[in-house]
Amino acid sequence: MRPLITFFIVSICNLSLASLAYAQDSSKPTFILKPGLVWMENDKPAIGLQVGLKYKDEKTITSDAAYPRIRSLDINMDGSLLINPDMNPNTQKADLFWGYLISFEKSEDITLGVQPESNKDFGSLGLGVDLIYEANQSFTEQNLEGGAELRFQNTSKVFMPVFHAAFRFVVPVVSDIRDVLNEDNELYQRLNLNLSWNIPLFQQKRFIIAPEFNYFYSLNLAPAIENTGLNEGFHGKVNLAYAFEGVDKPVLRYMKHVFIQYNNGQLPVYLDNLESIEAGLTFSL
Amino acid sequence: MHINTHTHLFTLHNVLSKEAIRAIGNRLRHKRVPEHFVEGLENLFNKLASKPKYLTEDELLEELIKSILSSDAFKTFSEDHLHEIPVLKAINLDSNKVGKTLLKQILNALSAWGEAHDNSRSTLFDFYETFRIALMPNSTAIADEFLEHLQPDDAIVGLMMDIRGDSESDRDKKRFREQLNDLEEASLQRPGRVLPFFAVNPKRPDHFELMNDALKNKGFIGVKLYPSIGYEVNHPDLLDVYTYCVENDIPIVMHCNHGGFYVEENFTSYCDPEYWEPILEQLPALKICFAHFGGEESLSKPNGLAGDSWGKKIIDLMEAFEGVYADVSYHDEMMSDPADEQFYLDTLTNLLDRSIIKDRILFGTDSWMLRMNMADEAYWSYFRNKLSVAHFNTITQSNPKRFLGLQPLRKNIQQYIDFQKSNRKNVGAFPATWLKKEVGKNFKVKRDHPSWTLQKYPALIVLKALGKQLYSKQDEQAFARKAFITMRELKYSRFSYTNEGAYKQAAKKISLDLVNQCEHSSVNGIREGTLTKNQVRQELESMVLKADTRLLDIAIQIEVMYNFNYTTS
Repeated sequence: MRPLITFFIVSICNLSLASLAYAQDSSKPTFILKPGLVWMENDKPAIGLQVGLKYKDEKTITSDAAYPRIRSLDINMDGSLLINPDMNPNTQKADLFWGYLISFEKSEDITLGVQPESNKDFGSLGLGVDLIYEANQSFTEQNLEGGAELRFQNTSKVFMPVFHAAFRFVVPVVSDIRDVLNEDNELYQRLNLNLSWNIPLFQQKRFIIAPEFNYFYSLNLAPAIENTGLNEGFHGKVNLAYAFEGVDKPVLRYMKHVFIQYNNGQLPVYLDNLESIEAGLTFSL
Repeated sequence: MHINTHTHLFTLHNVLSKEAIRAIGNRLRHKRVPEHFVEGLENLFNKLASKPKYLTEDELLEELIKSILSSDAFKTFSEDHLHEIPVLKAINLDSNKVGKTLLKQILNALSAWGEAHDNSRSTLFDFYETFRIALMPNSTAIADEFLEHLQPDDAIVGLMMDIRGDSESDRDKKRFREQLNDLEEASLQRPGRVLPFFAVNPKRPDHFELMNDALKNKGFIGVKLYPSIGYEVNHPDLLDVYTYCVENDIPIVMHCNHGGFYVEENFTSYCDPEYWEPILEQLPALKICFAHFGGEESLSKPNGLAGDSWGKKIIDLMEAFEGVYADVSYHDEMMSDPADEQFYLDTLTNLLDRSIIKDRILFGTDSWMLRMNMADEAYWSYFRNKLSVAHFNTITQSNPKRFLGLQPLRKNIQQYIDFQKSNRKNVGAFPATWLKKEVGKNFKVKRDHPSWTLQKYPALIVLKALGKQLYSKQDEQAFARKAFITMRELKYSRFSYTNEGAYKQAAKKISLDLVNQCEHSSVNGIREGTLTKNQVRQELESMVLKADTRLLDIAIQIEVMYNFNYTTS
């Protein structure tokens, strides 16, 4: 697979739409709109639009004896449209999640007048089942997926990675590659593993280095598909960011962070192994 | 040392009972504020009463505009006048989402329209400013708003308010205690500059015990009465209060005009000065200040001091009894009418040249109520510019000092000095010169922020639940400095750049840990109003997701949303 080195700058202007809801109403849907621009080598800038719909229903469960937890139902729909669909790095996605977030931090006694020691914190575990519809923008690859996922993290430990795993049953609803190979869109299973770090550099903590490794492995794929190498993939990226947040200077006030990111590998809905460098800045108005 | 003898230092959160909301609504209607504003504000206060929440200035703006736009009265108003306010035509009034810039434009447009068309002298901007101050997290913050433009030795009298009806919920009872404690705290935060008055309401069964405790042990120096809340000044229980005040040199400030807060319209007559003649005959040494001088019309209208006007009755009482005073607070209406203004200033000048009366007039502003029409600083400035230096000093210096018992020194101030002396090693600011001189010893400025203290649970909860998110150097900082650490400086925020899933899970976990700690049996926080556990957690989660949120802000939010029982600890 010929490595393709692509350089593009993504500049996303987050339109901050202030919510007027009094207290957050968990069952109230929220809409998100993100217009953006993408440049690619030897090509004109492309205009894009990301839209989203979110709904959640949560129950908070507290406890002196056991670990506190949140039971939640989340529905997210994210669309991403770009004038040139092949350039679109984002997927079209609808996601229904039901599960728990468990905090491994127990509350402890507090005594007035005494500065307390912080509670012992062993991180948190998010786990649950989900149903996902995912496609690229041209809808030549569409998957319906269902399964279980978990994320364990302990953000109070700087060097501890975030571990994210998902096992899903995948139905390729539409798949050009299968049509070309004259294969049926049969159900298969896919395991996704993700390991990532976010490590502050230097005392200032404005520099962040964030390596991330993704691995996926598909089971019960048709042999012809398996022969294309699409059954297994590895993707790694390293992001180096500098945060401007909190800087009270005329222009920097609106800039969130500047970053450069190296990507190498293959993701499930993309057929090629891609090597790319991404750089840009994010700002909010 | 200049003294403002009339300010309100209680936060709206501490008085937001049903009676209070009704009284605020009545006051606004009395001031001819358009119904869509009044209804919008009442809706907002009812929401805050049922689901208490600390609002930042931006959030208050959002909530205020949203409440007004969604009121029934505004719908009626907009049918007739929408075409006159272009910005309202341009937006979808039913929309739930309006950006901050647009909100400010709506605020300005409605303010400008109101200034040009309605009969109220207050604009929507004035309401916003008023409630920005009223919804500050504590009395110290409000006091600082009024002290900021004054000299370091100037002082303000902080009046409590007790708006209770015949019955009272446990929560409202607790709110009153919190108001009391909060004002005590403000007096320790600003020693010698905040002089607190305790609010007596005979409908409160233990008013006498609470008053006695406040005056003897908490540094309070006077008593506030507000009869139009619904009690008469000749109430039998109040006679014991007056006797106590005489015996202990305690001055009384009583609301006295035809408006202000009232629960029923006919209650305003309870402020009539004529009820005081028999009381003063019985207790001629009693010191009482008739706030507002019976109403601005006493000084601005030709018949204001004639016949059976309240102004005349006050003057008569002043001449008959040595302890009768009046203040000129919230006299602003004449400022917009040159004839009334000239009459007012002439009358006031004449009174300040008249024997006996010249020694009985006090300066006060009535802030934060005054902000509905004017800023505190502007009111000071007006009287400073319009009166001679001698007259201004009379009403801001010599008369207040005598009334309050500062010069000559009275028992009430001696108690205040003793209270400050016993707390001098733990105050929030350097004391006013007069207090330092009286105490004769050094004060130590080391008192914690009123909302970030080891003596209250919220700060301890924040450190307990969030402590592991602090880097070691932050953890080593002094307790007081930790209050100002922001979310962006905590460990979890590093995920906000590259890993949204981990960042959001961290915010959820932190908010969950905070709620879990708030509800822990050792703390036993009871959620305020009808707030659910989920709503509290989601509010905290949204704060945790904002990079600028300080640990102090989270503590303030917890303080507003939870009710902790400190008596058993």
